[in-house]
Amino acid sequence: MTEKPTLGEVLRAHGISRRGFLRYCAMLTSAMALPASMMPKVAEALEARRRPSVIWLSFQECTGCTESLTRSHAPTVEDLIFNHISLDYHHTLLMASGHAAEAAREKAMEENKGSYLVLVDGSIPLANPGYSTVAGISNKDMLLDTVKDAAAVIAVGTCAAYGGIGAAAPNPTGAVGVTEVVKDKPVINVPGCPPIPVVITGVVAHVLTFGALPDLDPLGRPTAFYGETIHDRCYRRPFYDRGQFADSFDDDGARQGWCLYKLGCKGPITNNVCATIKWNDGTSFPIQSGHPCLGCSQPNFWDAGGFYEPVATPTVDATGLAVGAMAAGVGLGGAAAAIGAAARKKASAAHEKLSVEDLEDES
Amino acid sequence: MGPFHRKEVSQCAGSESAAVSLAASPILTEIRHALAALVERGEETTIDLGAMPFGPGDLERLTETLGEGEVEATLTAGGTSRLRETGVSGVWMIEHLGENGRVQSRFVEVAYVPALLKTTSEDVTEGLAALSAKLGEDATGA
Repeated sequence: MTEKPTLGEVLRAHGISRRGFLRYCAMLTSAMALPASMMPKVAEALEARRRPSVIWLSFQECTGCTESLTRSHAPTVEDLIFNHISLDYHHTLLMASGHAAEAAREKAMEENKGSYLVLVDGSIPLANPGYSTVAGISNKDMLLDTVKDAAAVIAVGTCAAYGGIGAAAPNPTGAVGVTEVVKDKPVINVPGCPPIPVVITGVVAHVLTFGALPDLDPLGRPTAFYGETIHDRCYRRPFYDRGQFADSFDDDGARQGWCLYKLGCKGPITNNVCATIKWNDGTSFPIQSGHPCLGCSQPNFWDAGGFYEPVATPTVDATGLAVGAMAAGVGLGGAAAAIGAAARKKASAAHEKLSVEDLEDES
Repeated sequence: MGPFHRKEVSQCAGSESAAVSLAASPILTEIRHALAALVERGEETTIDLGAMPFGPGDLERLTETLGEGEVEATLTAGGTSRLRETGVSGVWMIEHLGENGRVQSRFVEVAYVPALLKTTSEDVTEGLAALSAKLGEDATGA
């Protein structure tokens, strides 16, 4: 195997000057959400890094994560492919298909044993391997086979990270995220539906630049991008603090740009950088465009209550309980205490309303 | 109807008005602290504006407050960057543009001269060697 060139060597071969390199480092440091003071360290690390092999696996997904990746502006996907990494396998972007594509994957694994990165988008169906296959290989088998000699795995998108929409109740395919299958390799979760383009490339660039995993939160997400909630960094936060809320999408509060909490904004419970990095080359993000955050980078966000219900709204309908309890001549507190744990869990998972009759059946 | 001016477009964007923007003030305060550090200790500071929770009108307010300075430079190296001193001496606005000409990242650098404009000693050494070669002389001047 021939020695791969360092990024510094690649840039010099392309006639990129020292200033051009520093400019590049400045943009990359920003994309990695690192403090600007880290720029010299980024430059130093990049000078010496070699382009690692990357294998991208797509399972139960909608291609939205790849669509997002191809819209990354800093670094661009072209820059990532030509300068940073050797993208040796990607179903959608690869010219080859069928057995030729699988041969490329196996060749990359063999030649880069122990040092390649595996990126995954989409959930893995465990209920029946036939639900999703590539070249006749089940998603689970392909994942386990591909990661066995990998240095690390990056789960791109909420589906790969936590199961996503595929795992939404009643989860017919038994969809799970990568960490439910891969137990013996470091896994970085980059959730979002899809993730912000520069967050995908920024996390990849971080791993490549420093040759190490970034700091992760308890849900396996890089703290540089997921360390704070959208609410923490939202420019509408002062309105929340002052109790100024839009009550509908066309009222005076909405026109004044007040907080969207009452319209279902999940910003307070969603960790992501939409409020700062934003979307479409930093143009805007949902809240700036007048729509509540859906919480798409959180596990089980599809089943976490109505998109237009405030965070504090219980997923169990308490109205029926209260009416039924009063009719039965007992207080709401007594009725709530009598709710069977199994019934609560089932109703919460399936998003069904509980009635007093259900509870009586349960008891 | 004539073309929109930048400020008018910004105020029409989304469902909110420019009056809601509040993020510029703390950044201006941070710049003031950085300027004091430059004057007192010679300490340079770089602030990544991409990491700031800007709302509609915030960037406009920041740039209006800092004003226009006397120096503007364009760097063409692996892409285009614009560097200009604001009306507050020592406060530079640096914008890196993408291939489509749009700003991809934006920094405020508080320094006497931005690092990107300085010529490194390695480049000077290489320049000396290159010029000497053209003149057919030894780079050491011997």
